[in-house]
Amino acid sequence: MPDAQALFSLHDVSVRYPIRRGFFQRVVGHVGAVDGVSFDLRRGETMALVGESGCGKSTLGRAILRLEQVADGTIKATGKPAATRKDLARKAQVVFQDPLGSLDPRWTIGNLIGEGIDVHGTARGAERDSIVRDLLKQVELPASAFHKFPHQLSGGQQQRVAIARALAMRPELIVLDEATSALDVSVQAQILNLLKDLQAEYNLTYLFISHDLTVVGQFADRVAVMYLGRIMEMGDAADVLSAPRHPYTRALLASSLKVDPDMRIDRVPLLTGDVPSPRNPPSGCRFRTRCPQAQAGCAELRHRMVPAPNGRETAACLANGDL
Amino acid sequence: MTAMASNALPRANTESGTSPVALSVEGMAVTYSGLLEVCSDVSIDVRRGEALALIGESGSGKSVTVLAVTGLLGRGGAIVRGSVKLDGEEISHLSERERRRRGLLGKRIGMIFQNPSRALDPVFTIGQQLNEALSLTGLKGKVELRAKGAEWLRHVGLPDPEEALDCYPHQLSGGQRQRAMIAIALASEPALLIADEPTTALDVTIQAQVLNLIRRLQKELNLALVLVTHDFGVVAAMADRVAVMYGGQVVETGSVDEIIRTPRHPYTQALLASIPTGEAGARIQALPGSVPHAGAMPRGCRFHPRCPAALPLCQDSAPALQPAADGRVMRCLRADDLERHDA
Repeated sequence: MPDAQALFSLHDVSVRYPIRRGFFQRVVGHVGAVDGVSFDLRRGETMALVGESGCGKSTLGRAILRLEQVADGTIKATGKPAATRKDLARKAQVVFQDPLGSLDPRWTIGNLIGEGIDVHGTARGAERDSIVRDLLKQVELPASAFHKFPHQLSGGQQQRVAIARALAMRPELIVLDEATSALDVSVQAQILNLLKDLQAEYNLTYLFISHDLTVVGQFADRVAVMYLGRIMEMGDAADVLSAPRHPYTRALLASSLKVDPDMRIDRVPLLTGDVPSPRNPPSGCRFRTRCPQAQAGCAELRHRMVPAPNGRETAACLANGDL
Repeated sequence: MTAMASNALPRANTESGTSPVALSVEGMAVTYSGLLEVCSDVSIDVRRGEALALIGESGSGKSVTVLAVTGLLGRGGAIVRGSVKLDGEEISHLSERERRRRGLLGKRIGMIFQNPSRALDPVFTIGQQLNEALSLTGLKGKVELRAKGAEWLRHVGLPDPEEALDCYPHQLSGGQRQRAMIAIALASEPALLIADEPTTALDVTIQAQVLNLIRRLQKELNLALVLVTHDFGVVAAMADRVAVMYGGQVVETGSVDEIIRTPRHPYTQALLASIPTGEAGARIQALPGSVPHAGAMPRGCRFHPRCPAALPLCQDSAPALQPAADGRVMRCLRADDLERHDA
């Protein structure tokens, strides 16, 4: 379903990592990190990808940024197709979880933010410096930060620099890969508010990768819940989180702790076991090994998305009456 | 399980009121190199069978507090004021050798850390590391140690306990390693269990499993539990009482219901308000600024530069942690008039 408003259209996207063994590091197999994912990223929306570690949410974000090769399927961008990754950088940028890890410690903040402008040659000299100072103001950093080094800033300020660096290319899409997960709640709130303001100002599209369902409920317009490389449920964030249809979404929501002293740990329903290894995923529905509603037929179930009103899609599930 | 859930509300009073105090910290201050005061005036106490949560932002001194209690401050770190008592016995100024002799390392205080891969020794099997803890209880003999070790691993819910005894840490998954570490921490049958961000690195489904396990064992073994966390979700699920820390001080203490439902200290209120509610599109009330650095603590009340209720007075006089008129314990010069304001 191509959408007129779509900024990026993903069709049946799969990403596989090679497994290498032995002295010659020969490829002996593949790990399917993302398996047959389709959705549209609409201009100006915040789309959240949630799931446990190893579910492929970060890999999918990296695939859209072309930091990962797509094994199957297509990722189409509207407008002039970007021929190289350098061209794509003007359209899509990324902010990672650990700001200190993505900022070179020997560079000043001014040079870090201006790097993209220098590389793409969009401005130089005094003009470039004034763009960088404007960016500092936009992410609410003091002008004095221009000549500082990353270690002189607090964690929240470093993340603001990473955001300014992404904004410098005037992108349409920013992939936020756990961008607020490492921050204290008070700082996380500041950064989320800043991101909302920037989105309204520049009509930015966000792909918000997170494991925190409460943050997602507040920040995202739509959400896709992933498990072992596949989307299990997707739709309007408020719909999915208030009335989850797939057993995995229900389990994930039930396991996340609420700030409510009546929800003691002995009342939280537990999901047994760990996430299976993606090297050897279960046949049929991938969630069946941990699913409280699993039946014998789940092992043969073919993965497909069942559409529902309001753009909702849920992976076929026997317990939901899908065949 | 159901009985526990049905009378969930009065738990704090019924269970903890009568049992003896296991750990009592009074006005403790910790410095590094004699200069940098990272903790000043920390007072907490925990009874047997009770779970106390220490919550605060990074840099608030919560981890240093538990390191000081366990004597793991490291080079240059020392307790310079106040007292730390375990079962009534003063332990704040003991040397490492004396701590070991009195069984304070491992035997009477168990510890669970955030990162099990760093707390477990990669060159020893889980069984060997369990034996070290078990031998502290006086248990001897290869067969007995192995049987008891397998029993502990079964207790913490590892799928194949006999097999897991011979595994090295890297052969287990993250959640399994965390379980193994809990087994090792509890195998020496301590009176006090300290858990420093025990589930921060885990996925939510595994986090729920591990927290459930800690809570179950704490109840079964009647342990005093000190839980260090920055996550109010964990506090709500686990704690009986809560101590909120800011800038190396405890700023408010109370039952979990009091702290979460009716926070009194402006910092506790602001911290709770900055948690996303999950309400679509709503703006979060962000607390401006960040925790001050230990070397540059503000004069007067340490929270006053970020406090929405600060008065000029707050810049000069430092408040003490004391009960307000209604019995709520907090560190705020305006404790009594803020209370009236709320009511």
